[in-house]
Amino acid sequence: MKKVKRKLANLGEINLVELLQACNGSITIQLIDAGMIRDQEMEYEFELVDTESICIMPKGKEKSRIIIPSKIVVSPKLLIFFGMYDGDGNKTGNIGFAQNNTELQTFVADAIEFIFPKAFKSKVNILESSKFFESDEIQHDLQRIGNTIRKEIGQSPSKEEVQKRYLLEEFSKMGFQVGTTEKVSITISPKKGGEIKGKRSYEIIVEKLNSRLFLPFLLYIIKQTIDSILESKQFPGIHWFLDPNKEAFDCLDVEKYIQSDRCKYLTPSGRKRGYSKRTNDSHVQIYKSSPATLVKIRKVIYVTPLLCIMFGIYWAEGTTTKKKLFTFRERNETNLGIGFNSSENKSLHLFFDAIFQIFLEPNELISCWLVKIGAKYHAETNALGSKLGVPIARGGPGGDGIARSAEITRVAKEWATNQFPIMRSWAKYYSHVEFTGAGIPRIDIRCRPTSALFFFSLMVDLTFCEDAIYPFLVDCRSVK
Amino acid sequence: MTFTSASEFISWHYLIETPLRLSKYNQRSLTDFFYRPISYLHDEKTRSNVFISDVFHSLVGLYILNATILDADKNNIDYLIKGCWTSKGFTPIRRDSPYAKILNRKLLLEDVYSTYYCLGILILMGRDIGPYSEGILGNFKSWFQSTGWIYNADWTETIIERRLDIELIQQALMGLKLGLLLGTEHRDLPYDEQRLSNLLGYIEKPRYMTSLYHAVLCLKLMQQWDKSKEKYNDVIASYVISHFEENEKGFREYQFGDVKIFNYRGMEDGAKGATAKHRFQSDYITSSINATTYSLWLGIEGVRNKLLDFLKLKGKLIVQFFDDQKCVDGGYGTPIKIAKYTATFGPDVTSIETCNHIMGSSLASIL
Repeated sequence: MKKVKRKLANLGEINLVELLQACNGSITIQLIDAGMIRDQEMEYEFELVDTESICIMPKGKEKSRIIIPSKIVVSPKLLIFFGMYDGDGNKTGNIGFAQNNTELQTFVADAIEFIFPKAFKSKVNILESSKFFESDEIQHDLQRIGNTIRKEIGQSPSKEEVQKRYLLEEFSKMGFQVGTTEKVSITISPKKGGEIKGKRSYEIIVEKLNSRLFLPFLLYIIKQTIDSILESKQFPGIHWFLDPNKEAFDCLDVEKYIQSDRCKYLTPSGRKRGYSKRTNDSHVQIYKSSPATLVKIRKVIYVTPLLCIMFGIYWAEGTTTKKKLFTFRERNETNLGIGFNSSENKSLHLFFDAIFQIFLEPNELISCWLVKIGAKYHAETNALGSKLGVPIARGGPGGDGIARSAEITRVAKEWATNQFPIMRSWAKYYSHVEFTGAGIPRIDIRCRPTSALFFFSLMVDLTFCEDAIYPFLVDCRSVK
Repeated sequence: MTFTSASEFISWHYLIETPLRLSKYNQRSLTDFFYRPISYLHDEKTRSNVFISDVFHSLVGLYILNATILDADKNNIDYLIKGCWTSKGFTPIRRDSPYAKILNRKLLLEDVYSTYYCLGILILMGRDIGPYSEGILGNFKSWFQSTGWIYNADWTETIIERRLDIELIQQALMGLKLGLLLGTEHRDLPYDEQRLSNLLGYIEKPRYMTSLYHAVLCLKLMQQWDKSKEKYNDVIASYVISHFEENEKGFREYQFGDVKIFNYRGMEDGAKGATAKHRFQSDYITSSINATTYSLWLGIEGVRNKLLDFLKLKGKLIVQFFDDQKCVDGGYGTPIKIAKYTATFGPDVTSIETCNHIMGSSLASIL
């Protein structure tokens, strides 16, 4: 294979003029999120300012006009952003993103700025539970901050003032840059999350001020892009250079990537270790400690739009603790596994389609899937118990383990395969029900642990470390 | 406790004195519907995946219809029951079935409800429960928890505060019935006082119609109902009446305000107002066959007085409610919807709801 060292190639282009012309500026989208269908409609007026810029405004809202680039280059990173926003981005109100990880927030902020340069100022909301401030470990810091404020204002500050200053200090240490930040507000509430003393429920929400009228426009761009990938065809205004579902200019040389430092992890004793591997003509077999856990990976992986969107959605909806994804190379992280949680057939479809662009054998990859039911839907589950004449019993001391009543386990599978038709192909991997969290019944897919290191290495590198991945890229044309 | 006929057992199971009326039903189609789970036992491919609970409710339906159960069917049911026997109780499905293989081993421990259903099936079929009694009795009292609730703690280890109402009260009911079937007086069952206190506590502040109905059934079996009903008449009446929906002509299983407000991310116990409302604005509930039947039972066989007056006032509407229910594949049911999901949560029609339709419309007809 001929290696060509260069940046990741762009995958397409979004022409906003064509996109808007195709719908006469009238955008209608149906968002399916957490079991709810939200219809959004908005009419826009637009005109070309010059060859590179477009002026766009909601119909009749002259004051809200913005000027943005008329063409958006579609890079792997932009698609990862689209996936992230599809999962965790605001779907109502202003354009915004909730996430307590600053790397991800910065990534999203950069991407929004790329599409809407200098169009909106940012507002940062920091949320925390008042229970956190009951932690013994931070009392010393709170006292120090209290003394500082007392000196500044000449009187004793309120408890809330001290707590807010604590969060502000912590936030400023993060070095968080999200374009032009106009305001940082802090909300400390007993209603925010945790009920346990000292437990954090930290969340950063970055929103773009006065962007509410442009949220449907952004969501429309994202939705059209994802649909065109899934349908494997060009949409008006969405131009792909190759088939977005399966083709790409860049390929990853898997064998070399696996041998490199990028695919190493730390053992509990602090030693760096990688995969053991066997290679044949079509694939690479990898395993960690025992060949019994081996997973087959394709010899070359195409950096397709589908793969990039999936990685973006995984950042939002993957069940792996975000922090671990940034630290697994530097310290020993236990229980690192691929897990995907979704209440939308389309996301599940995308996940399965894309993950098998990396891995070969479902049996080696998928461990099981289950139905998770949150507290808000215990009432419906109780009613189901009444219909079937069986008790709805929970599992584990806290009630979030494997739910009891085999009848409920069976019925939940039938519901899941009806509601999410993609899961019919995976019916034999169904395992159980769990009563956990607060939200809508959803599918939780769990993968075998061997695959995790490779998957996360590639995901993190494509998202944040393009430099590190260049040496392992080859031109796909040379592969063919 | 002994029964001379299946119908005697059914009257005891439902604790109903009102005669059941079948004239308005297409009995052939009802029979076919109830017979379906039993027919699955004919086929080698499907017989292993039949659940005890399905067979119990189907048999109850068939015996209500006075249908004849063939010996071949009884033998198939015996085969099912034997496969669920663990030497201490029964599991919900044959332990050697292909479906059982995917289940967590804890789901295949003997539990209160499957054990009750199995004994119920044996009684309905006129079989002797003797061969199983000794094994169950040897283990049975360990299911009686010092809190007063009844469950197999090996089957589910969740702390009481995190258990759902329907589980605790339904298993208390089935545990009590099981005790009586095995010939134990309720007073001789462990922690009788705590159980009484738990049940009265629930009746004072009920959250689900089914659980309220089950709690009152428990008190009747414990022979405590006559002593308690004066005190709880009003609270039960006002709970049931508040669940009537004039437009739907029936009663609802629960109210959002009672069951969908949590101390979780802004959901506080008893909190009212926009935030709490927002949490269930996309959810659905409608009057159900079960809730309407149980409301009628509570008014006619239970508290009477104020509630019975209300039921009489709404009698025509309630009769209409049952008449309006669609018969699907011979059965009846109230589909459960979750938010805007298109697939219904669980089967649309079930044997238990179909039996309740018969019971509910019979009760409504005497209003």
